[in-house]
Amino acid sequence: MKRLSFILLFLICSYISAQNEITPELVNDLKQQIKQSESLEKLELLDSLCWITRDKPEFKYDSIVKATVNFAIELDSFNIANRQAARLIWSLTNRMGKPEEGKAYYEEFEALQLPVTDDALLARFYLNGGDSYYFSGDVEKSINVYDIASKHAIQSKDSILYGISKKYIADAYARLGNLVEASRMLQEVEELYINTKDTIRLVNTKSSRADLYSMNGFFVEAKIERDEAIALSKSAKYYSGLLSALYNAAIDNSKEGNHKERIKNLKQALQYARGSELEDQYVPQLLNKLLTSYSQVDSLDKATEILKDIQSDPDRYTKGLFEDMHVQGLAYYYLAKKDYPKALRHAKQYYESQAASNSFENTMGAHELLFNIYEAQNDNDKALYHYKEFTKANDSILSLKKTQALSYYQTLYETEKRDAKIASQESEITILDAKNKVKQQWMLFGGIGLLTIFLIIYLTRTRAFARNKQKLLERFSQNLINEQEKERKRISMELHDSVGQKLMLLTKKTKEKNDDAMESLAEGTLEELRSISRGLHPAVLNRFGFGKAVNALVDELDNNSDILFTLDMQNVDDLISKEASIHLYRIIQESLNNILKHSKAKAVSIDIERKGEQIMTKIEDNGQGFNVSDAFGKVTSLGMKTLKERAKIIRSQLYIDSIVDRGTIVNITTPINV
Amino acid sequence: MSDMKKEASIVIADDHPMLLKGLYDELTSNGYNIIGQADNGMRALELILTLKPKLALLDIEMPLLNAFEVFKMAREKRTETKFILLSYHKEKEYILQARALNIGAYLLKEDSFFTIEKCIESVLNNEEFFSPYFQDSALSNTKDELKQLSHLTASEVSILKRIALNQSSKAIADDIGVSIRTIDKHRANIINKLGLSKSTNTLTSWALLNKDIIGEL
Repeated sequence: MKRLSFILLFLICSYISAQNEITPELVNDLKQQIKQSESLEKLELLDSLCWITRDKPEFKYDSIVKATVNFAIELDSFNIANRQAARLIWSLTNRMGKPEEGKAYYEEFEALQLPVTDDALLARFYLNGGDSYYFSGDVEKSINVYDIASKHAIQSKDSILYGISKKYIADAYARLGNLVEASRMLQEVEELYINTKDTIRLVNTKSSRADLYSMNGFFVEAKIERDEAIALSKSAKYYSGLLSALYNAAIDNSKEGNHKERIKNLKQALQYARGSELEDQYVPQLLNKLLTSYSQVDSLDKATEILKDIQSDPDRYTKGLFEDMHVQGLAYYYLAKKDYPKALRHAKQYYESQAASNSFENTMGAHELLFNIYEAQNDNDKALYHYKEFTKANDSILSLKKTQALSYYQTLYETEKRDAKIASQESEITILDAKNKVKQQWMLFGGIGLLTIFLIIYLTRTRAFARNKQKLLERFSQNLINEQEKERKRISMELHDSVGQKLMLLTKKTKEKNDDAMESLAEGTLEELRSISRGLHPAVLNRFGFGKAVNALVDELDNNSDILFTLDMQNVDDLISKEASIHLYRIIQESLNNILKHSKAKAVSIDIERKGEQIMTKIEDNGQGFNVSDAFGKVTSLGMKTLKERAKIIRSQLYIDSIVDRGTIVNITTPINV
Repeated sequence: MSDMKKEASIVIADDHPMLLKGLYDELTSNGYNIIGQADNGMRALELILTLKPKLALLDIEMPLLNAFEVFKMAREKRTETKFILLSYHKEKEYILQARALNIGAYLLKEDSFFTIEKCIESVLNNEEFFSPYFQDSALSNTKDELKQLSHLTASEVSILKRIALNQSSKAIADDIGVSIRTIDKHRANIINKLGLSKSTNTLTSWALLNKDIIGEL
């Protein structure tokens, strides 16, 4: 059964291609067969019926399709349903001039949301749906639908469908007066065709852009696009594109008033049109346009030549679609020949047909033509009327163009301004970011640097200050000790010179009185004075030098204690200055006094000897010792402090080594000649 | 005595005017022949060299030149003048210095006029005279040998006393808490000062012999 239907289908197709004629008998045959068949076979036959009855209202094409679609949906053949629905929408909109019906069917079918899997089918379906909106005047809605189509085109990876969708969107934008968006869409499509090397579609797109520009009075831009389209179509031998481009260029020339260029383009188009498969379509138009053009530039000879050409085959060149054009050409021709009644007759005919067809621009052209004729006839009233009509129409077109141009440039300017602003902002942001980064780094490093510098300065200053303070303190205490020494010496001398002398005299006198009590009192007083002044300043040191003074010191202490003193001393008197010797003497004195007071030692030895460039003084006892750090640590240990200060004055090193219950050793190392 | 007094020409020097005047008054009122007074060392030297006195009583501490310096310079000029030092200082070093320069007379300023007269007399008789303060009563009447004990230090005396009690060096060292070497050092010093022979047991024998005297030190 299935095979049979295939054979039948094949027969039908071959019949169609052979006869190119669908007869009601054939349709009835097929309908008959459909009634007898079922399910998929029936669907295939229905599909065929749709195919052969397409765009034919006499076979009720629309109801056939609707029945087929419903049956396909029943059989879950959604792709077939979709394809046929799309075809019907296109037919209603583009063929039968019923876009409203197309739109209604689109909406009805679209609402079903069938699970169609073929994206190319869907793209076509939405393209046709978009058309139905576009031609119904719902242009904005059409853009949305075309956009859905373009998305399905992308899904199906069909660049042609994608290009078409975008092109339609561009047309819709153009119709809405959004030239910028329209132009942008067309550019996008052009890029697509450049990438897919689709020259033919590229030429068409370029022509569309040229039309868009021309429509809005941008003839310079239009010419650029047209020239490119002409060059491309020539190289690709795409004559249909070439002729269309040349013809439209001539129309642009006419609008600009550039007759020379117009004639050149028309002649070139004529040359390509003759002998081509588009000859019938283009040659009549081109000849009639040339007639008008030559007449307008008063080239009567050439106009007459063209007219002869036209009149050689009036059926071919002056009838049907070309009649209006021919009438217009004749009007201009007779005007040029100054045959005004004939010119007027043709012009009126032309005006009436254009006015009837609501062709605004052509009506305006007819007014201009009539004005020229009446003016030539000196019929001023009529001339003025047509002139006014012409001017009114022209002004409205101009103002529309102006508005559109203004909005175009405004949009373009704003877009560019926005782009430039964004770009400059971005670059500014980049620069600012970089600057900020550098600034932040500088600030960070600078901050750390400054902090480090301050810290270093602070530490150095603190250290220097502390060192200075210590030095000052040292110098102060050393000065204090020196001054103290001087003062002691002075007091000692004073005591000797005043109280001492008088006390000696007094003692001497008492001895003459033979009063023992008074004598011993006087002697005791004098003795105390001697002891005090010796304590203040050792006279022996001054008179006999360091060695003798140490001897006297040790002798005196020896006499006043039970400790065994062992003095072993080299003569170092010449190795040490007087000023220094008092300090070394004092150190020894203080050390020995400490031993006497605190150590509980049984023996003390004092060794003073020269070793190289140094005088080594060692005072050793076998007493109970003490904790050295404690003694030095105590702030109250003035004796120890003074010892250290004195050692510093004479640039000596003082070491105290003490072991508890074993004894103490004081070592003083003094450079000679200090 | 009185002749000697009158014969003896004397120069006195002291930078302290009150003492100088006191001394002058005492000496002249007692018939001494004071031919010159000086209040500084330089002036004293000048008087000694020009007046060539028999005696010069000099304070040790004086401006410009001290008594030791005056003495040395005068001796360099070969003066025959005998010197008596008068001093505030009692330190042994002064005595030792005087002895070292061979000045045999040393008085303390508070010594009585009686002592001064005795000193002058001794000096004129070419005898030494030191202030009674320096005379050890215990040794005053002993032999010369024992007189040397006064040169010992207190520590040396303490060791000598132990030796006199027949303590060995080791025993002494252990007792005091020092090395035997230290004790031996002291023993050597004592032997030197007393002028004993250096043979081994001399000091021990001598100490035992003079046990009583040493015990009184």
